[in-house]
Amino acid sequence: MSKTVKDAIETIPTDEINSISLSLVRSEILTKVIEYCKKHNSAQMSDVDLMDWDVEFANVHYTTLFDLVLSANYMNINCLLDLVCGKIADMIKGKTPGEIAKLFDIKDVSTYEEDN
Amino acid sequence: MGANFSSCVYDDGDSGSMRPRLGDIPESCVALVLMYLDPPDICKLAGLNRAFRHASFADFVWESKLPLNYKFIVEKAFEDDIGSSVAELGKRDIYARLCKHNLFDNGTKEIWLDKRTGGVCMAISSKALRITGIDDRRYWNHISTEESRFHTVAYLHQIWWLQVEGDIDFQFPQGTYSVFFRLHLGRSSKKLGRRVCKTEHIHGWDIKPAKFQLTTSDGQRAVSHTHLDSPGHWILYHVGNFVSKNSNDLMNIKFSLTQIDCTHTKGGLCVDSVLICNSSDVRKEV
Repeated sequence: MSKTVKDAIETIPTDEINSISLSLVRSEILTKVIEYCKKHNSAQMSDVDLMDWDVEFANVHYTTLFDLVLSANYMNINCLLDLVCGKIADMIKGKTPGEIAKLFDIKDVSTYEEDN
Repeated sequence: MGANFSSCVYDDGDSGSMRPRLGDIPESCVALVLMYLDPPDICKLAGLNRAFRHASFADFVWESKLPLNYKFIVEKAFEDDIGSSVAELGKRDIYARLCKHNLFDNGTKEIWLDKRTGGVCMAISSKALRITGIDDRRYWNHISTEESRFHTVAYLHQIWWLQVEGDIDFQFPQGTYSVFFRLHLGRSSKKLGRRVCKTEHIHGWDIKPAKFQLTTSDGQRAVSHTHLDSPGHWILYHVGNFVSKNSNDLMNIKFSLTQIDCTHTKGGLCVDSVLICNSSDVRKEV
C-alpha cells in the first residue's frame, strides 16, 4: 500500500534487504499506519463497515492527524492521505482564519482575507 | 521491517513536545485539504500561512471545482469580450472570471457560475425572446429599468394573443436545471427616490391561467399552468426542469409563455428575462 516501501523493495536487491529506513516516521504513528494498511488489505470488512472504521480511525487529536498526513505523504499511501486530509478539511470547513488559529493553536496568522 | 525513529517535527520548546504544527504540512498536502473545501472557503484560507496561500492557487484544486466542460463555457462567456485573453489565466482566475456575470451574444444573455457550487446559471433577456406583436407599439414596448440585469424589459399594454418564446443552444454541465420566467404585473418607476408601481393596465390574468412550456432537443418536456399574480413584485414563474446527461452534449432548450385565449385581452405585464439555473442552486437565485 505504501509506494515508498514498494519502490524501496523494488530497487534494493533482495538479499541486501533487512530493513527499510523510515526515518521520518514516529513509532506510534507508524503503528497506526500499519493498523490502517492491515485493515484495508484484509478482505474481511464490507465497504460500509470499512468507511465506519475509517471515520473512527481519523477521529483523533489534530497533532496525530498532522503526523498521519506527514507519514502518509512520505510513505506515499494515497488512500490514507485522502482520509486524513478530508478529516482536516471537515475540521476547518466554514471557520474563519482566526477560529482555525485557535483550533490548531497557531500564534501568528495573517488576518487578511482574499476576495474571490 | 525495521525502522529508525527520529523526529522531523517542530520543537516548540515550551512543553518539549515534538508534534507537528499546521505550518509543517507541505503545500501539496494543503492542496489536498483544500480540494475538500468550497471555493469561498479556499479563498478565505489563503491568508492562513504561506503553504495555504500557494496551495490556494494550485491549478489542480480549481480544475476540480470548474465544470467539466469549462472550456466551452469560457468560449461562450467571453465571446463578446474581444480584448480578453483567458488562455493565460490560471484555473483559479478562470473560476473567478466565470463567477462574474458575463454578458454574451451581443449583450442579450448572461452567464455565471454559482460561487460556492460551480453550478451554471444563465439569464436570457427579453431582447433575445421572440414576442408576438413586439413591433406594434399598441401592444408592446421596451422600457428601461434598473430592475432588470439587462436594464430593459418588454412591457405589454394589452393584447389578445400573448406569445413569448425563446431558445438556447448550450452544453449544460451534467445535472438538473430549472427554468423560470421573470415577470412583473404593473409598471414600476422611481418618483422622488421611492418605488412607484402603475397598475392601471393590469387585467385579464385572473380569467384563465398562463401556460409555461419547456422542451429539449432530446425529447424532454414540461408544462405548467399558472395564474399570474402579485402585482408590484418580480416573480420567478417556474416553467419546469430538464436534465443534462452529458456535459459534452449540445442541447437546444425551448421555452415559452402563452395565453392565447381570445375571449379576453390581458395587459400590464413586464417580461424581464428567462432564468436557467442548476436546480440545487435555485433557492439562492429565487
